[in-house]
Amino acid sequence: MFLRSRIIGQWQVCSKYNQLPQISHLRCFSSEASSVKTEESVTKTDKLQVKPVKGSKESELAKRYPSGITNEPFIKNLFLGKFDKEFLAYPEIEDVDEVNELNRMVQQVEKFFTEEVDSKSIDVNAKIPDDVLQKIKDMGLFGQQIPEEYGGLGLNATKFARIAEATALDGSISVTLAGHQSIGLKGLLIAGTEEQKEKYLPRLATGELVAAFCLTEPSSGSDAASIRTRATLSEDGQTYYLNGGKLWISNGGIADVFTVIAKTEITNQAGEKEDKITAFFVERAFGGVTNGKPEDKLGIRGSNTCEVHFDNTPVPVDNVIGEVGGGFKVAMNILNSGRFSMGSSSAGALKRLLGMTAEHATTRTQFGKKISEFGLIKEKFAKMALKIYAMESMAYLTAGVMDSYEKPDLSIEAAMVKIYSSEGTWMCVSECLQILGGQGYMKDYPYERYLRDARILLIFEGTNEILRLLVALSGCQHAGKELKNLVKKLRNPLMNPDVLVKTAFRKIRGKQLAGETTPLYLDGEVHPSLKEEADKIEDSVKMLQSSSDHLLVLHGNKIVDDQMNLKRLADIAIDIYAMTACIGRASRSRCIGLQNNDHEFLLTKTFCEEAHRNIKQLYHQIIDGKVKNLDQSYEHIADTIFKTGGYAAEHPLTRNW
Amino acid sequence: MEKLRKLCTYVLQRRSHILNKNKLLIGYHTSSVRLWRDKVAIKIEEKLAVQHQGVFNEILAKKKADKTAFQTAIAYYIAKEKLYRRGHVEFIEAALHQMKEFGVERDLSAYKALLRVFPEGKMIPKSVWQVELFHYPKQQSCAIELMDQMEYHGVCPDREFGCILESIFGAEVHAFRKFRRMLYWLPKFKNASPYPIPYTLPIDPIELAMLALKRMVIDNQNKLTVWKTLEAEEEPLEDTFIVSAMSPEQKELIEEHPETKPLIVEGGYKTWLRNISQIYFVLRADPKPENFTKPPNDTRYEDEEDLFEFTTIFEEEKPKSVSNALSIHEQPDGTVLGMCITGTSSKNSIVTWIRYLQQTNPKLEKIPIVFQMRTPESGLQVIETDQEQNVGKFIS
Repeated sequence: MFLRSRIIGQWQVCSKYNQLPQISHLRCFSSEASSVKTEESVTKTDKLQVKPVKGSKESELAKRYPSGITNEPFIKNLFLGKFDKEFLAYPEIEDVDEVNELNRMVQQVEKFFTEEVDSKSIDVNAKIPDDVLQKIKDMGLFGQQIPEEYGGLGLNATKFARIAEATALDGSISVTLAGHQSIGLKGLLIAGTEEQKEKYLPRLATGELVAAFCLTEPSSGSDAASIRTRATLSEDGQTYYLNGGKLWISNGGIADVFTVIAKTEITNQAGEKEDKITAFFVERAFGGVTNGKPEDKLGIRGSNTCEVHFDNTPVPVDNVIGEVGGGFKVAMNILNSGRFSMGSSSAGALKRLLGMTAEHATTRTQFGKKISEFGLIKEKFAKMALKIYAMESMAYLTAGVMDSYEKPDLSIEAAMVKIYSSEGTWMCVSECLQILGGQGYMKDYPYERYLRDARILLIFEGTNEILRLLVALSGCQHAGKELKNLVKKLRNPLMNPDVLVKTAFRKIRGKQLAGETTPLYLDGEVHPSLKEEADKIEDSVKMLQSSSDHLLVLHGNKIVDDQMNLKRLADIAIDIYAMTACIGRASRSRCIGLQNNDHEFLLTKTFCEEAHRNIKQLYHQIIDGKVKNLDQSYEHIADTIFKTGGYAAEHPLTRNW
Repeated sequence: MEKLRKLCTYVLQRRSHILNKNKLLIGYHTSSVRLWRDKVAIKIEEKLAVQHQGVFNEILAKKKADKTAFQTAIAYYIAKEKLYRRGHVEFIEAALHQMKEFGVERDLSAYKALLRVFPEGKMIPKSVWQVELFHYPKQQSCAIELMDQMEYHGVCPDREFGCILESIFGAEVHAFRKFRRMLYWLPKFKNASPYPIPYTLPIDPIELAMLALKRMVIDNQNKLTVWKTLEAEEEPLEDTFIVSAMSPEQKELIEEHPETKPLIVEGGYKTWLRNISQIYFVLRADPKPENFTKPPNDTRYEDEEDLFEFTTIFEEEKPKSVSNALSIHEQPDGTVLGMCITGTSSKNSIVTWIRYLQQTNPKLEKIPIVFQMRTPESGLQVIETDQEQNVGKFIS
């Protein structure tokens, strides 16, 4: 199965033996395993254990996590200044044969997408031809994550991410696939009963049934709890009747089954009736399902997006996904689990685009020189490479960790991958178009299609704004629980003068309000040439902790309303995660001697410097307060605009007398 | 001593006389200068003023009082006094009084035309002493008075006005300083109001009513509806119009309103648009005290138990952190549900308004409505309606 590799041992040890660091495979489930002291690791290196740790440890873990082994939350712990060193050990697929098999599959898909898929005509005609769709189904791409016993490919997260890199070559197909399996049928995989799985999954895996996920409504976008679609239980208690309209549903027109999120009336523990959200698995064949005409969109034009209406659609109670009234969690889990692959798919498409652009830059001559010789062009390429490297590293790190645990807790990390990769993609595609000049703008070339397709990434699967709040609020919530008593005392300084003095001293000495002040010793986990970068992570973690402490003390529970600072916290956390992924990956590449590992090394060094600089700036902005960091001005400006109903400044040519 | 007392009495009498005569804001310069003049001169002035007033009266008798008539009067004076411009101060003063009748009191070009009546060039001071000693006091006072009147009516001078003034008095004198101050302040005052009104108001009462309501509503989702009773129904109680302001949010609030609690129609309150007043009525509900008992920024509660125990929108359907914010219509003194201005402001028209509102708010038919009306003419009146039909009996 899938194991995580880890470089055991410190560089000091290796240099003592004057040899390259040894690589061993070790099953690491908890952070305990990672926080090995130096002496212990010395002994381990000496012994060079290769066999996975089994036996007593596993049973102990199973006791601790009855519902499946889960990881310590990485990002949430960062807000407390804790760093799970496991995340610096970049994951890899254990079995070489598996890797080869995967590569064969990817090659096949890539070949199909390059040779048989005509992205231009899909874009122009706003439809994926049926034969292309059929071939994709035949390749099994409609059931990538469905377990093999149900006829799917049974891919784990890492393999799924790798295939997504290839399918992303056409935006429309990629979104159709995502609508089907990342969100459409995910509900069954996550919370479906055995009967539901047996009934639907085999047909879903072959593409005989296409799935869609119905959450968005005219009145309910990011706020999932505000939906109005209603399911009422019949008197015999066997059927729900579904009524309501859903908006902008991917695959809405072609889907045969829908995961529908609707309100139901339930009786709660107190015996009162209240409206709670429930998820249903609805077949079109149940009747009463209609859909509007496909929407005309800016990008991903070949994917089918339309309104779906349910008019008294009878849904048997067996088709409830999860518990009645537990649909909100199901919906959130579906959305959270689908996001991580955006990093790899974006990177896949961008790598191809970058190649095409580089070809242009090396052939186009202006002022007697190739434009690739110009500094401004070089800068653009370098920055794009940094973004791609970071998003790819983050995506596969997340996927790898996801595969290492039975019940991974990685929704925040996945959201970060989504935020970073969608924004990175938009920036990269835009820069590519800039380099291509006029060619980039013309419909005769494929480049403008990439731009149009990329724009949706920032909007769907949870807008980046909402996801930033998710990242920052989860972190603050986690940190807040630890800081609760301290903050209470700090807010009542007359009663607790000792706490006040203590924290004041800590602040003066540049330490955090609470928690460990010992160094993290991250450089012990990575290749010694990356020591500087590891120190930058440590510094950044300290800044994240300080700034979140600062905000928690300042706002208390009202921190949820300080969105601009929450965004800064989220950005710091995202940068730290990206740095972690890059450093882990570069360290691995260097240790095992991959081709161009010095290039990776340089990318990582540059990225970390940039990210660290960025984090420092954000940290200072948070500490400076809302007047100095201009948040207040932004608020006032926006308020005026809303009050006047638009741009409020007078025209520059206006005369007053 | 006796002499001084007489002088004082005389001064006070003259002052009040002039103030009454002009009924304008007379600046310090004007009055103080006048006080030191002898009786004879004043009599001549008054005679001249009456004479010039006559010019305007004559024209008023012949022509329609409008801008052209006003300009004709000025042209007539200038043509007559080609050489010396005798009595121009009196003419201007007379004209200033007449401007309102000619309907040009807010017209900058009329003031400019009037300013051109002053002879050019000869009143420009030639030394600083002349400047500081108020050269040609009577004329300067007159010009300042003219500008005062402009200020009163909110007319902002422009560059051309300044050029004319400079060619008459020069750029250093008090009159010109007044002009500069006006040019500094008036444009700023012009746009100081956060609720601007058009410079010229419409004449149509419906448009006026719409303007007034638009200015009062704070919800930018608000929709104005206009009904003309004659068009809306076959047998209206009276021929009038009704302009109603209600936002979708207010409609929702009506829908949520319990049927047991009555709604109240209050009015009529006065609202002003420049110099026009209108009467408006408010449909409101009693405030919900539970919404206002705990101050929204009270931090005492969270300090105790649930500090940092908040849940986010990503975990729970109804997270603790997001409280249902009050709509702007829910105020501590009542929930405002709608406003209207009617043509007649009569009780009948208000009842008709409620009846029209029922078409789009069916819930209104079930809620009892109390009319607490106080029109300026009728004092306090309360009309109470039955639950079924809203036209009920009066209790005064």
